[in-house]
Amino acid sequence: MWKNLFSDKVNFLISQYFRENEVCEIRLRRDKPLMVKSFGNFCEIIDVERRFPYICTSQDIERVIITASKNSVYAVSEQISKGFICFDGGIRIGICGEGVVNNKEITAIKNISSLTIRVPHQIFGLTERLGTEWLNFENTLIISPPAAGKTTLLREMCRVLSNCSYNIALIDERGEISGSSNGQTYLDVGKCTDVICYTEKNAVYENIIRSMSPDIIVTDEIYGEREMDNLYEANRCGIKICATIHAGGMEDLERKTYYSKIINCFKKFIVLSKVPCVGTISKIFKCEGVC
Amino acid sequence: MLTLIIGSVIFLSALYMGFKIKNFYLERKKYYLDLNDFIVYYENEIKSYKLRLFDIIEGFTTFRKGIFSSDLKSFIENTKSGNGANFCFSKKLLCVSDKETVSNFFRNIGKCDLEGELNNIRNFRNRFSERTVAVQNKSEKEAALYMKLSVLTGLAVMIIVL
Repeated sequence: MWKNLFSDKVNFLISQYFRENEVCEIRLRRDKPLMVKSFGNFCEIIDVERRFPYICTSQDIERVIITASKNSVYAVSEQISKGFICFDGGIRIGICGEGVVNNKEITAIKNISSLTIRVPHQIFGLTERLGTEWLNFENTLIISPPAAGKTTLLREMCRVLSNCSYNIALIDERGEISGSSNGQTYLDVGKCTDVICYTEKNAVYENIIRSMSPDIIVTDEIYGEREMDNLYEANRCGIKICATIHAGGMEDLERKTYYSKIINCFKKFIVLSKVPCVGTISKIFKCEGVC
Repeated sequence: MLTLIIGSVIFLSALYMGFKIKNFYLERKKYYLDLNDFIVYYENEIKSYKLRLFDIIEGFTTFRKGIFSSDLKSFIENTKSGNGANFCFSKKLLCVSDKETVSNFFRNIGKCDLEGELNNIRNFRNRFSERTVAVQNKSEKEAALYMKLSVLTGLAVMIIVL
């Protein structure tokens, strides 16, 4: 699906290095070489005819934006103001450029200079490393630095829990976990999962508890004390939580201002690392907090 | 007898040409009206629901027939296939300057944020609404005129032949 974003020439150049399903991340920076990552490091794409790196142009960037928005930039302007666009199949396109500020809020991004296209990959069987006792589910937090595989693991945990007949409410703010587009999910998140996507998370928690009666809420990238409060309240309603958070490890987590709320809410912690490879579970531990 | 047949054929030919010319002007009027209806529909849909362009066009063309609807469908196909957002006119119903205005509008459609998009729509409507009314009046008059002219011409030639 990511191939639809690019011209035939760029697709041809990338195909000289990787197959379509091997690509994990593509970075376009205006007037800089095109960089593509598979399951390892980034690789500079060389234009074979000219024997020089392929240099991204503003037309390449514009084409990606227009295609990702399906010729409807106005329909994704809110996403753009938050720095991303979602595309089919759960592809997330991060955007950098000049911010347009109105009343201290970013209302738009103009003169887009770089894009980061992240292609999700569904990997089945990741939860085998967790054993079987985790299926007696307790509030679980996945701690991970960026691009270490937390969303992939979260997706798999969601799928397995859902197929064990837990009713899951998946709050998928950017459509990355479920790969949702036009009401259809491109990635398997389980048979008992209700997906709410492309909505600001904090606006959804209360409604979802009342309307969907979930057993477990699954959400990605907890950010901020307000969201932590919402999750804590949900837990006090008897709903379990499975979430991820950006942090290098427990030491980074302890520095967060709402660390005590995290410890009080979550019982189980899974720490991911990129060493020796993406998705490495470096630590699993329990914490008997107070709920 | 032969002259009667020839005269009838000439009359019927003139009548047929009259119908064709009348049809042309009516198609032209319908094209302009459909175009204006689409712009209004498009503005409402993006203001209210921020629907995507392709969905709006599909919604508009589902129950509408006509040359403008089929041109819109071709526009979607061209855009989806990566041939660029070029609006192609299947029939020569618009004058050159109107064609350019419409082509420019569709070339830039969907490329701005909501405010920019609504501004583009307003500018287009301001330029095009008077033109549409003028074309509408002219088309009705000319359709009727050419129909009458063809009938009279046909009759006149038939009488002369007879």
